[in-house]
Amino acid sequence: MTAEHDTRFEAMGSHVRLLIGKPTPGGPSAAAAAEQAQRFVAEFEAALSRFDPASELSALNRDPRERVPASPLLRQAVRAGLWAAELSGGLVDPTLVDGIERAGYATSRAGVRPAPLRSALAAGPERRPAAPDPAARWCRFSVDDERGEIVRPPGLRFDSGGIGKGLAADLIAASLQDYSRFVVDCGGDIRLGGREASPRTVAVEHPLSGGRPYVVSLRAGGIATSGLNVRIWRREDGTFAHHLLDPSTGEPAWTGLVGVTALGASTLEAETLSKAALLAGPERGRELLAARGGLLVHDSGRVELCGRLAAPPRVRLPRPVAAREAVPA
Amino acid sequence: MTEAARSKRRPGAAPVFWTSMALFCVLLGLLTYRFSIGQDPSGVGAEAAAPPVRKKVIVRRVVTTVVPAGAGEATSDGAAPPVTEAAAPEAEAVPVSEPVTSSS
Repeated sequence: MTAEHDTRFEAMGSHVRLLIGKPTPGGPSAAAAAEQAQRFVAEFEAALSRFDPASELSALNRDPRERVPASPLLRQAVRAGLWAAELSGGLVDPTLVDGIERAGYATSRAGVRPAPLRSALAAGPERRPAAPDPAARWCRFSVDDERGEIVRPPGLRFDSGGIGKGLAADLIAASLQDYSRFVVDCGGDIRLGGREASPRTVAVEHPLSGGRPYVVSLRAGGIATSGLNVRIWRREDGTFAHHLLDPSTGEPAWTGLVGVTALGASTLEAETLSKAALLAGPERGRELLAARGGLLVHDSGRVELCGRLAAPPRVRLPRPVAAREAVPA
Repeated sequence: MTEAARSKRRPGAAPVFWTSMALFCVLLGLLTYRFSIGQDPSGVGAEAAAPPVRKKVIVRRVVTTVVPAGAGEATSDGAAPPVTEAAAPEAEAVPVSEPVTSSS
């Protein structure tokens, strides 16, 4: 195995890890690429955090104009959010800022101890699949790249939280294509690749046990996990809430799933599929993961492999040989 | 048949004895010789004594799928699954250096 430059730091309320292999001859070193990526993550967070009043995203959400000039990064984030909403049929809705704040997630929860998931599951309401917002307010957002503007009705706020880490991983990955291999891990949303990328394993954490019961072998592409176990809290009225909202109600979704891991061509796609599947519940979630593959973790803790992951590992055996053939010449 | 004729056809005890001894010694010598050259004249255990058949080693290979860049669908040899299942849900099952996907 070739040596890789391993960088870890905290950003976007999570850990970030970069594993970067050898550059092309004459290219910037892996250490230099990691430094550049770290600077980019800092800029990304500064521009797109909804918890920072000084961020460009907060400025957009406050702006009374219908057309708001926006940086390429913010336009890209909005475009990614709309793409995720479209891919998920409105389940991954980037316009649920009011609902998430009402649920109790108005400030960053980085470093805050989560409420016990098992207790939350025991006290949670009846399980049912989430559904898109019939009003589909996200459709009222658009990006005008020619003018460098974002267009939306004033007061309709955007939240990049659902897709931010996946988008960040993909944007960093785009700058690392000339390295022999790389891993970009933004809070568990992971992108792999490189010009000589070889298969490597990614462990999947179980949201209830904390164990790692599955190992996925990937050479390139994205893998992401959405779950209830980290951003979960107890409200003042004693009920539990978490950060994955049912767009049709604006309330935390309790669908019978506590975690979903999805594969995708990009981390953004994987993250979108994992969130959509968790919100859709077991039945529809299974269908959403069928094409790319993934796994569902049910409330009971049972892990269900979906799509290409569901097939048993293939064992290749040589054809049976006659005893005579088995005798060496 | 008269008594005289019956006694005339019966061989004496000594020739019978010595003939039997001679035959015994010849057969014993023959068997000893065959044993000495590694041949079991009874035929029993011939298979066991034969050189063991060398069987081909059967190698089990778990084929794991790789998601290629930009596609996420094609596989290394068709539709093999991109997953291997670890024996137990232990963190130690994976090298520390490998990434972990988790909710965040």
